[in-house]
Amino acid sequence: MKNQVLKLKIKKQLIWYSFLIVSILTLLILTYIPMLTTIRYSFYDVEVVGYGDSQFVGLQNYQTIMKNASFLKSVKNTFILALLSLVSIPLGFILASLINNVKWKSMQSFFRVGYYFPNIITGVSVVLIFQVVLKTNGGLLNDALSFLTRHDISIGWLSDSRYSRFGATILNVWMTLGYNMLINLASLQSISNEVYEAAEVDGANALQKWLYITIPQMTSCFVFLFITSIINGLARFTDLFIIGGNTPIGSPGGTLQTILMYIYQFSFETPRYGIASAGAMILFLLTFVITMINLKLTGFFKEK
Amino acid sequence: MKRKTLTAAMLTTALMASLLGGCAKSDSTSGQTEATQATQAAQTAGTSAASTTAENVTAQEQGNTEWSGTLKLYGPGLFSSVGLDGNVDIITGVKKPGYQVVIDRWKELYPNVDLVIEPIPWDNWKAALQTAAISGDVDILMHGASLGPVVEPLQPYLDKDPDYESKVTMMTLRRNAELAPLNEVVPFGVTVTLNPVMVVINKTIFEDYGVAIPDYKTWTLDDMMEAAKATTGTDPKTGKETYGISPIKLSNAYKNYIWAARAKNNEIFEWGDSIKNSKMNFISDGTAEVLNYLTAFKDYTSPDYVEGLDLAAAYTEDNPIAMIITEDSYNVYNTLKENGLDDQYMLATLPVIEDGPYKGITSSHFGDWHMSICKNSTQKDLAWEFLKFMTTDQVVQQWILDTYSIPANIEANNRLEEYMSADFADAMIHAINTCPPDFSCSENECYDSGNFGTFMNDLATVLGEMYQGNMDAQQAMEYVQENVDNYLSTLH
Amino acid sequence: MKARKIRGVVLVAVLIGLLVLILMPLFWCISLSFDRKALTALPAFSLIPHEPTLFNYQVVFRTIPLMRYYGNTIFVTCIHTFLAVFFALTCGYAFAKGNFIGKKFWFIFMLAVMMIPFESRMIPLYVQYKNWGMLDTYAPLLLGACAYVYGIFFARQNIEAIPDSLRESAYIDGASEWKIFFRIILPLSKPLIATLSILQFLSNWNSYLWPLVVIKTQEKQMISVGVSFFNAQQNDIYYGPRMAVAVMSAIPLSIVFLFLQKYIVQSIAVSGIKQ
Repeated sequence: MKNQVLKLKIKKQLIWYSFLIVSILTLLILTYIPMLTTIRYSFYDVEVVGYGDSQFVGLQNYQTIMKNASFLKSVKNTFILALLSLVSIPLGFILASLINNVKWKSMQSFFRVGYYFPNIITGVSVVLIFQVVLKTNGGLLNDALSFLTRHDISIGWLSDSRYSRFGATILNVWMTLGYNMLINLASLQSISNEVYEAAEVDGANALQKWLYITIPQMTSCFVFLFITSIINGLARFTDLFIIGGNTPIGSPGGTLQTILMYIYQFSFETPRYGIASAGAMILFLLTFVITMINLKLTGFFKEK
Repeated sequence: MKRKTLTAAMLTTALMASLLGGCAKSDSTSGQTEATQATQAAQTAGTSAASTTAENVTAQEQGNTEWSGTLKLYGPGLFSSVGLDGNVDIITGVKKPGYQVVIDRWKELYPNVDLVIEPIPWDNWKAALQTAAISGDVDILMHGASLGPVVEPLQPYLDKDPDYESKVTMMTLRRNAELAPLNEVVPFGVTVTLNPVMVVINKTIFEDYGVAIPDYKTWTLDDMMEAAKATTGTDPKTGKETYGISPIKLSNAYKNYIWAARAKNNEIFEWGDSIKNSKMNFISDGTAEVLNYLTAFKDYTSPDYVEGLDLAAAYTEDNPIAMIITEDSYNVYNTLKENGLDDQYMLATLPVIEDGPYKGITSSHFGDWHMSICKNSTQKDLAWEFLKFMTTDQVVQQWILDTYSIPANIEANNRLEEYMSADFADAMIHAINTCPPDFSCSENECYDSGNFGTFMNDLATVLGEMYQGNMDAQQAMEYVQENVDNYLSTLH
Repeated sequence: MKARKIRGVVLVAVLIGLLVLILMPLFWCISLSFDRKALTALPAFSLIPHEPTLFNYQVVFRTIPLMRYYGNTIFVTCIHTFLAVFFALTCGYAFAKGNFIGKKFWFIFMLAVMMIPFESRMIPLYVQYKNWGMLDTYAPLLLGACAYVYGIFFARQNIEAIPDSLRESAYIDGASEWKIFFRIILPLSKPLIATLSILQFLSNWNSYLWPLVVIKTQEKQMISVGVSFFNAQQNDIYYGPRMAVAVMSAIPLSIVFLFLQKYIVQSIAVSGIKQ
């Protein structure tokens, strides 16, 4: 009898595992095992995998990289860029609030699609266009700013290292605004009307409702977007790679070199695979810690 | 150096021979032949040239059956840009035959060896090339010499083929502490095509300002700066804004450093028995001079130069730039010809070198497209056969010329005059003929892109920063020096 | 009442104005792709081509086998998306409703690697596929799909919101977990499936480096690499043709998005992101 119960229990376990097994194996073979290789290489002095002799050097790659000014700069760049790109969240929220106030449903879905569109079309062609929109002399943005301020403005948004982070952020916001708007809008629309109605009875005006009802109700949405933006920011690569002319040096002035670009540089451009692997491990730890802190803060681990 | 004198001797004889031969077949191939016609024309050209390369050609004519197998090639370059079946440039309408021509010719000579060519685009090419090398399933890496540890040194093969070097203009050379002292470079690849860095001179603007067109065989860095200054401003004839110069684009500013540092002969290395024990003394008055020289162009470039957008109207009627430094002179010529402007322009070499062993020759260096043998290849001798084939076979040289590229083959070089007018061909031939055979633009006494970590990228960074006024020469030198020292300290 | 209506109209007008502003670069791209004047130089900004033409598109079709690349990419992307979404749902279901030993462990096991950048494990991964003799096949492009971590995370949140009562009644009828999954969970997860499919489709369609490295035969290549080949065949940046090829490669994505967009909002609304 007891045996029967145990068997049933095991069977139940196995059934649940049957849902997971494919993904677990895939991760194990295609992510964890390569990662172990990366960890191993991070302790070796190796240029190109499989060529030349590799020498065990212990933690030396880590020491090297932690002392390396370029690496530290790339860490700084990554965080600055990730923080700057957060501006897309409040902008997305304002936009979502506006769209939410549109009374015609068909208009709403039109805006949803329209504003999301830049998210679909990315890559080299967009950067090519933005290089012209954001150029110093006679770029559309500078022209518009000059017109508005009535001063002659010529800022090298993507070419002057003093402004390049802002220029890259403009490009990033353009690409992510639609996504942030969409998430915010969905979240806004799931706030129940009863709360608003109750507030109306109490005589709250629109601004008060927005401040005391909408924003608090949106907290978890903001937290979600905050986490995903930061984590995406840590792994930012493609657009900055293209802005730098298909190089990982983060031009202009190295201000746009993220950690991942640094890793790429030492994996492929100036092959020192040991150092690149150490960099990859540091990036992994950073991401892991930030993800875990976030999950803890948002109470994700609390069983419901 | 034995190689140097030998090549020099061959150079002069080949030059003489071709001058005589050149006038005889002046109308042999017009610019726009179809691939098939080109091959036929080339074969006749090949046989007519048979007297000079007699043994070579007769040995090959019957087809070499002693080799068999499959030869795999991987990498970016000319094969990618023309494709298997050729392509048509949409502006100039220039037709380029595809690399099927090369495959067919190879099959004729080596019927038992299959060629598998896997061309890739330039985007992320280093990553792709490295993974291909790691797979071990590739014999020839196109443009592979930049991946030092992966490619086979070629000196042993050259020793077996002593007359090979006399046929080619240059080889792809790199430092290697195990093979030679670090102040020398040794061959790691064969150069298939070369691209001299040249100055495109807009004669009209010079005439409008009444500025004499410089004699490029003797002009100095200062002459160039003067010319840039004199042609910047409001054109006295047309009343339009003109700019003196457009150097190689700012994102690749290290390429400007290569020639300017060479012209100033700013030697920065102190060699030891290994790279680790060597030093780069980047902080010096000489370096500051080079950096400041390049930054001084700022007053004579278009404001769009910074973004690499200043060449929008280049090579058209409205071109506002007097001198454009280009790495792609052959295509510039095609564009100009298509626009009917070739008589208003000419090519010049870069200013002469002011000091050192190469004093007096032009500082124009060559971009190249080369091929190397992968260290893990199991058929290196066959791969070497192919490398020789690519650089010496007449049909292949003709194909390269037909794709509007310049083969690194002495005989073919001297036929450039058949392809373009003297205003263009002369300067290119001048650059080719004065190029020292033991010089590597990637790794020399003034510059090194392969052994000092991110030196090349750091140069681009600081030159950009100086141009924007965010750094002065001292800060720039310290920035680069710190990165290089840091890199050297990580070596074992 | 009237004031309200006016305010509504003003709001719509403002939103349309802003939308036009934001989409301006895209309009410009499209306009350039039909402009014969857009060659090495960009013509002055204009939403109407200076010299309307289909020339740029003809160039694209003539230069690369675009239809072939389309076929390859659609084939790979569809299978990839199917695998990714299916296994994300199975895992999401197990994590949301399952009760088994090591649940927390496996969840962290998956989350932990969610953000490992692909570039940093590319070389070891490549060596593995090489040892299995799978280079130049679509296997390296597809196998990774079986563990779509973000999707698992997202699916868990969504499936958790499905009331347990539905499952319980099925239990009473003697249905197994897999049966419940197919009969109850899947049909209720349409918005979720749509959302994950779009996200997968987007990220797959544009992936470049991995296909470039693992696919050797040109005819088997993906469209992203094809576009790059096209660009390599031109000596300069020819803006018109470049824009044409960009527009061509974005069309399938746009169509997929237009069809599925209404589900996205629904699935986000039921996921854990809302209050």
